[in-house]
Amino acid sequence: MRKLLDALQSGRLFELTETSKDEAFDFLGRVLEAIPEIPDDSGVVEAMRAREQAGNTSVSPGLACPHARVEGITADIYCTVGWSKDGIDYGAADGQKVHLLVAYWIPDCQRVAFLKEMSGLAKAVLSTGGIEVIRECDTLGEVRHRLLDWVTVALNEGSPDVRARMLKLSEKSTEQSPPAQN
Amino acid sequence: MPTPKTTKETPDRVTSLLHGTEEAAFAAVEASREGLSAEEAARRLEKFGPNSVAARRANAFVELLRKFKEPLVIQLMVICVLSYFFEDNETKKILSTSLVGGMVFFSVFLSYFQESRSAQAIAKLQAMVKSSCLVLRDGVETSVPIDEIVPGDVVVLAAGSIIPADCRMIQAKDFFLSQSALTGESMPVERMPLPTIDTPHSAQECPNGCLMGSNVQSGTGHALVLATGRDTQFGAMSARMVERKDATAFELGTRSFVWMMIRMMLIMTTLTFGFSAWRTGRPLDAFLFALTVAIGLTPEMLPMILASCLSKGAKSLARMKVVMKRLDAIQNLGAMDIFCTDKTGTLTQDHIVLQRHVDVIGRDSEDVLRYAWMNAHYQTGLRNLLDRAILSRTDLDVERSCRKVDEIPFDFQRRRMSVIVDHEGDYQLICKGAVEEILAVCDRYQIDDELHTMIPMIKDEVLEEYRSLSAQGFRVIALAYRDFDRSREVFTAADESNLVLLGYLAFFDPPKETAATALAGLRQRGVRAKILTGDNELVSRKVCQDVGMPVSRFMGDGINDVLALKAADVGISVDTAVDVAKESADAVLLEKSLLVLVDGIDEGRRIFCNIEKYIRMGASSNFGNMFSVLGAALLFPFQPLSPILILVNNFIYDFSQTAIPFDRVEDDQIAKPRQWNISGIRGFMLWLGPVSSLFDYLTFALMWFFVCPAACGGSWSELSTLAQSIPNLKPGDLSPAQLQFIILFHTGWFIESIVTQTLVVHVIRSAKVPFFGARASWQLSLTTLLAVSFACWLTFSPWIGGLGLNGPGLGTTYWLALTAMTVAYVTLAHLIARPRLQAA
Repeated sequence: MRKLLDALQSGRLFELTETSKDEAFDFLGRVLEAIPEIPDDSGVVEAMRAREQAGNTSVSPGLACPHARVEGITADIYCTVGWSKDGIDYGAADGQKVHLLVAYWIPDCQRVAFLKEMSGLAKAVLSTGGIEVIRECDTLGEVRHRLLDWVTVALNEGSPDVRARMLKLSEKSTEQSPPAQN
Repeated sequence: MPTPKTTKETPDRVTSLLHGTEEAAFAAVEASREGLSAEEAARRLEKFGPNSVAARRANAFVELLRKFKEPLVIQLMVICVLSYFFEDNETKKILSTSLVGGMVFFSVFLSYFQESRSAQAIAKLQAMVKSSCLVLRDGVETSVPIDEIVPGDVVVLAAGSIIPADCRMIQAKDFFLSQSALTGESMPVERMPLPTIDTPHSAQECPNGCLMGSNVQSGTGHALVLATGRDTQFGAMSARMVERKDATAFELGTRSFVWMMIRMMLIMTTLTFGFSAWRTGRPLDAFLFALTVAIGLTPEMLPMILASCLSKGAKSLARMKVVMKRLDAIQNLGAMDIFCTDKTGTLTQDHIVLQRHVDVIGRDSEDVLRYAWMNAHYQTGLRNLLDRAILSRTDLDVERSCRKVDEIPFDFQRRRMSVIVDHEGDYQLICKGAVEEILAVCDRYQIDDELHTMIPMIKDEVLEEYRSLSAQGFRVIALAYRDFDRSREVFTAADESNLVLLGYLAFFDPPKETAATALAGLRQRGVRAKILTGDNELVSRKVCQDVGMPVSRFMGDGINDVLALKAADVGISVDTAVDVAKESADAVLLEKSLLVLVDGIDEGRRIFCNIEKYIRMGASSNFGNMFSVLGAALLFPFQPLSPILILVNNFIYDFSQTAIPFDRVEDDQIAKPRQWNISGIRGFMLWLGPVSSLFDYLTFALMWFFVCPAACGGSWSELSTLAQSIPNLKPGDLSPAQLQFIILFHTGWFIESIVTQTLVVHVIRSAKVPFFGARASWQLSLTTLLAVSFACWLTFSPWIGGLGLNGPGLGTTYWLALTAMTVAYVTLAHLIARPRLQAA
């Protein structure tokens, strides 16, 4: 959730006047491309659309996380948030309109961080009553407050959910075991 | 251990042993949970006989006698008797009886010997692919041929096993059976051990019974054998009714051909009788003549030719390491136009290596390897190639700190399996299986040692690693786990839920070097290859690219091959396949190579081609003879050939065909699938028949107008006029000159008929120019030459008096004309047959 917090702190929360998914992608993609750390001509919008074609990126009712993955770049993850009061027809499996789009730019080396961010966000949304709190907002300021609440919840409750307790066994004997083939 | 008191287990007794207590069942077969000792099993095998439901073969004499019940043989014998009683001439009487006897010998003895040899060859070959199953012998799991299972054995069953006898479950874990062979019901049924059954059920419905003829769909278990062989429900059923298999396309085609010939024969015989009786005024002679004509028109050698071709083919295929379980499926190999194959081991090397073990984002993970190893190590079901690959990667010290608690076996609905392990006070369920199926039951995933909530969008993300590995040609399965508290002792498939996705296992099975060559070979032979695989499209696409073929559709693999094998025109399995797949197949490859199959297809086509030769030959010459005999019966005041000569002619003709199974087949004839083409046969008949008849009529003209008048001192009408002036000659009787005329006429047509009928095989055997472009095998050339030579010799032999032949009287004109006509016939027949053979 730290990337979402970064976005809020950097002022990358916008009200979306656009009503279509494509227009929203164009807008959020351009915002991401405007971040100085993101290389020029990195094709953020196209990458977001390609990912969307592989599978819808709605996370929970009313919330979606479109994202662009890039290879061969060592950099941090960046995020920007779009809010739509009326909602955008996102083609989500539940058929509901999406009110909040949290868009990410993810270098390949940051996949783990991204997955953790997603799981944390999903957990925070679920534990605070879902998208209803965002739907009830009338101003961007209210949305910002609600999002900060989510970040607080996520950071306080902590992610991961739990630490794994794995069975640890050793090989019978090093001499007898077959050689590794990797 | 003593032999059980019951010497004959009946199906009713099996039902009763399924309803009673488990102790009673053990007592009845005098066995224990540890099974039998090897010595006791051997004693019982001696007592109860092999565990086989196959009907015992009748003794040779009875088998031989059965051949005499064939309508054709009865027909021959009736003619034999009639000839004997109605023939006045003693020599002819003996000759005709001997000849018909010889034909009975050909028809009965040759086909009997061929069929016996085929049956022996098949039995020998089938013994090479004997199915086996696991039983407890001396308390140890031992692999035993299914026909050596005895009552009292405890069989060890897993997914893919055949139920080898009528059994009672004494231990089971998620055990599901398919009883479709017994009940026709395709849905699997669950079976479990029960102390007793209170409500009466049939043996098939008993929830603790598993009966011979069914097979294990999923789960594992132990079962006590109550009855074997013909004492089983399946055996009793088989004994009550002869198993009827659906006729193959070839059998249907053959039947249709035979019926066409029989219809032709009946029409022909009736017309011949009518015309001949009217023209000669001797109805009895006409009747005898019509009966012999019927013999001439009957394809009596067809069963012998079929048996001989198929038997020879089965042996050739065995040399190529293809074992045919059904002889009549051989020609189906040649008819194959679409070849559906699985991938693993057929297109690939069947040498699967665990190449990578990675977490959900594709980083190498020792945890994934360790958990996969424990799953493979503890599972007791069907241990497949993937398990072996995992086990070969490492060897963990589990004895000291781990204990297996339970197992949820694999099945094709869930496409996953689990083991539950007790490790230092914790229970962990470790599940591996198809990626989609594992993901469907995961609600968390693990990265490093952190567990995170799985949401649909993240499933898409983690699937990316799977897609990437698959696209590289890896076969990928997923691994997941879940903790349980120690209060649980029994686990079911429902416990495979809320799992933690741990990572993926990527296996690689390199394509066979021969696969591309073999597939190209199939393409050249007009056979389209399709892969039916349970693997995902990405892996299939990669393998297909490597072997040079396009991707096909998803279907299945392993045990679920069975339905495909049953549905296919010819089901092919390999010797290393699961038992039920092997049992369902028509052919078993001893080598898992498509190159062997390509050879098999060629052999199937060769056999079909040779069978076709006989059929084309029979159809065209019989149709031609029909025109000739009918015309002659109408035109001439005497029979165009005496009944005895028709029999001799037929005998020689039959002999010439005995080498057809040994004939060589041209390469262009096996270049595409060979299927039964009844319209093609009809085309041959309608074109070649009249051509053959045309030369018969030319011979009639030659004999009637030139040869006979020249040798007998006048035309038939002149001789008839002269006959009226002969004293003591009764009205209707023939003068010596007239008899001489008829004998010469018979001789001329007899030789021409034999020459053209036997030589035509060289025309219809290939589209190439006979004798020059394509040569027959030495066997066929020899029998043809012998047949023609023998026929000619016969006309000069001391038997001529008895047979009514006069070779020396024919004169040079006849022999020159015959030579010219033969050359003309072969040329014309070749020109007519060539386009049809090219199109066939």
